[in-house]
Amino acid sequence: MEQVLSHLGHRTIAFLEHVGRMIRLTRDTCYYLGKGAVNYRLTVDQMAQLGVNSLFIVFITVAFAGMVLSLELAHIAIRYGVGKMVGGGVAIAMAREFAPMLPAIVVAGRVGSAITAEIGSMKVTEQIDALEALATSPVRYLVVPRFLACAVMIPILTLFANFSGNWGGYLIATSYAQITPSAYMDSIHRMAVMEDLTAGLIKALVFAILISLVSCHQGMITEGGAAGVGKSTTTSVVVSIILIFATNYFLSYFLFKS
Amino acid sequence: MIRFESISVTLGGREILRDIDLEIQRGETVAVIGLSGAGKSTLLKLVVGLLRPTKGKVWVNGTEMSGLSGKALYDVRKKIGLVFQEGALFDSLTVGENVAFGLRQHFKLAESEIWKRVEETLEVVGLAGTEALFPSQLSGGMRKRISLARALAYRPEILLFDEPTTGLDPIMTNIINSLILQLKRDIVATSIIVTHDMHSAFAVSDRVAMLFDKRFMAVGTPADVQQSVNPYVRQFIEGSAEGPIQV
Repeated sequence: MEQVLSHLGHRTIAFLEHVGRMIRLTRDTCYYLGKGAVNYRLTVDQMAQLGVNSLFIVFITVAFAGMVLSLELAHIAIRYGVGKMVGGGVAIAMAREFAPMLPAIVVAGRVGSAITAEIGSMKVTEQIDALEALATSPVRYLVVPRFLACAVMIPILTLFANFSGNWGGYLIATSYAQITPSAYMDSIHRMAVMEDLTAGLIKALVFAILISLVSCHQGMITEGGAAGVGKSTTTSVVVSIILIFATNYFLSYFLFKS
Repeated sequence: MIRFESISVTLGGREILRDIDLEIQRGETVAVIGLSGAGKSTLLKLVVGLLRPTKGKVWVNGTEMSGLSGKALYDVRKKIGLVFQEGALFDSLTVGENVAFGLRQHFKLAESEIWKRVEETLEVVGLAGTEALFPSQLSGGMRKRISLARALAYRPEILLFDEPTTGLDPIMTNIINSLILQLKRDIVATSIIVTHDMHSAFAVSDRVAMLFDKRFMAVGTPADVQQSVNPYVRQFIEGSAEGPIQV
């Protein structure tokens, strides 16, 4: 019993330490952003790596998601005689859920893991200590550019995902489900509103903040050589994806309450 | 000047240093020797403020380090050059960018002035013309010398070396030792050299301090330490497997 309680105690303390370090990292990041202490060259580099290099994979994944969504919706809608609603249904689902979520998951896997691996490698080879010894804040030099790059590029990827998802949906609805192009477009105009897109972009921004902070934090706390880097990278992706799904639920609850 | 005042350090529940006292005068070079894991590198981290003592105070040029944070801490660090054991060069930057790093971050110099300083510093460490190489293209000895160049570029008042000759061949070891001696003459920096290499410790330092069992077991001139009758010191400097130190 005593052992169980002791184990629980240690786990609780470790968890709280983890949360405390995340809060401190968030605070320090906000501090440097507030001061305008941003290295724009590094930020643009990160934007290219994070955003531009993710465009293709986001296009493909979301286009297929739009196609399958359109396919399923068309099956049901045609059965109940509301085939003209497919375009609107796809557009709303895309704007509210798929377009923010899928790029976030792709970025968490592709970019979040790379961020953690890079910062983690720097940590285990004393490069983070070297930054500190050279009187340079690792948060300012490493975290702020990645944070900003995520905050700008993930919402842009979301906009792009809206386009590719709806394009995929349109393709299937008009070819496979025999819905006319004008009926498809008309239902989008009738059903989808600007607030759907805005809410999706708010979600994307929150996911960007989560992915960047979790990935950087996991990198910063990496210990134990190459094995430690591997472990941190996996943890970073798992934690980011869980947080994206959990946060998405709460954001949907509050943003689409009415 | 660097002063360790009743320093104790406990890390992860393990006591590393206990009640350490040492004063290093301006321009003096002290070599810290001792077994692996004795806490030698910990001393360097205390000076730079990468670690805080559990008890006691570390003074660097009259400033107490353990109470510092943010800009005040970074201001002290700008006067310290730390040469890491494995170099700790930034992988994503070229040699030139690594050496220019401190200058770019903290000095408002024109690019031409920065590159002039980079070239001069690389020449000092005998690696002129390597600006465009990446750390992955360098040998162990070159990495250490670039790490030294990076620390030297912004002309620090204090130089800290973490095992500068470990893992190097005898010729490269002598090159590094000569470089440290040359720097001692040229820039008159206060230095701490953490090393396992007895030859280096005695060749480049004004005083040698041996860490054992969480304390300084011996502190004195190289001659004093070499002639010490303390059986622990004798066993360590002779590298003998027989003696009171059980590994």
